[in-house]
Amino acid sequence: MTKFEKGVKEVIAQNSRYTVEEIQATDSLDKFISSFMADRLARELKRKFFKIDTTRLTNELYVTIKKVSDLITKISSLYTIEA
Amino acid sequence: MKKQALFLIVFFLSSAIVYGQERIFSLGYGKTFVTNDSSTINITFDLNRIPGQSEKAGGYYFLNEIFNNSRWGYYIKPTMDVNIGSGVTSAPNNISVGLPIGVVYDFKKNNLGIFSWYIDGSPELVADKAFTNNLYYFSLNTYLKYEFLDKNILLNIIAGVSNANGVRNQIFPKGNETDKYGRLTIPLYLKFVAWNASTKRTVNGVQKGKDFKRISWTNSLKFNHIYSDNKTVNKETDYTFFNSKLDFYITPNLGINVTYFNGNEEPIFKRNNSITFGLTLAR
Repeated sequence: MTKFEKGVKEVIAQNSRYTVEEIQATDSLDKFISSFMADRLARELKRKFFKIDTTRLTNELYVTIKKVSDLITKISSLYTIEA
Repeated sequence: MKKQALFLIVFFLSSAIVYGQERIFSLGYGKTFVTNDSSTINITFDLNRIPGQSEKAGGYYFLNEIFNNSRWGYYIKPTMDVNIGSGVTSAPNNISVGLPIGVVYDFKKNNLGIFSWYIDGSPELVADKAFTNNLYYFSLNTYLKYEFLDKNILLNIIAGVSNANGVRNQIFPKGNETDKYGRLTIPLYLKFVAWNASTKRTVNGVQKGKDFKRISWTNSLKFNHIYSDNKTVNKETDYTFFNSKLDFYITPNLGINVTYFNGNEEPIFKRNNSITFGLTLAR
């Protein structure tokens, strides 16, 4: 598990009834925190990953980012582009 | 001609935007119980709104950020509710748009679930079917958003209070009339989802399919107290408005829906009591 995968799962676990171990990367995000709370999820992720553009991520959570793996890819790419 | 042009603009706009919604499209056939307008065809388009209630949950944001690294955040999000159809009483208004600007506090998760508290102000326009009776006001709102989610069910609740102050503008064949308008509202919203269906099966030792929601049921209830208005248009001061929408999914992508309205709502507070049956396409 990469540090980004672990970090994303930790944030989801802190905002759902699931543990880090129960969250699978291939699962739908709505299984753990519904789109009703997508704005909150984006803010919570920003609190952990400072490079996130929270507004952009919020709108992507409503439209394109539907799986945990999509979210991990999105966030890890923010850090690897500048590396 | 103008109505046709408006219809086409809104239809194409809605087609482009609702692709991002879980519920892609719904076409319904309805019946009203109040007037002789007994059968209706309705197309509804909601951006960040639940019909009859500016619930401020979900959808597109102009801005959603946090203050430093605190539990506080701030946001700007557009809201819009457009109803097009043959029935004049099957929807409470023709168009309702707003731009809430506010702050939010995210409480840490507790044993009950997760809570966020929102406070915002919003300039808003609410117009009737013919754009002849329009409300322009600024609303101040605060509400608590709650989510409980486990393997079988999802429960979302919003409860709050809203105060609107502005004017009612009526357009007559000869001249306009403008009156003060004031409203205090207690909105309640409840969504229930049951994840109790599955297409999972094993084919040649490989598992295919997925779990999906069978039932999605949303309800909104508003208590309106009108403390300032034109007494000809609005003879009473207290109104309730109830809206319930049930989607029953046959497959993960196809369902049937029932929508029910009852009560009186802005801008003209005409009695509304209608039911609509339709097909739901989801992705």
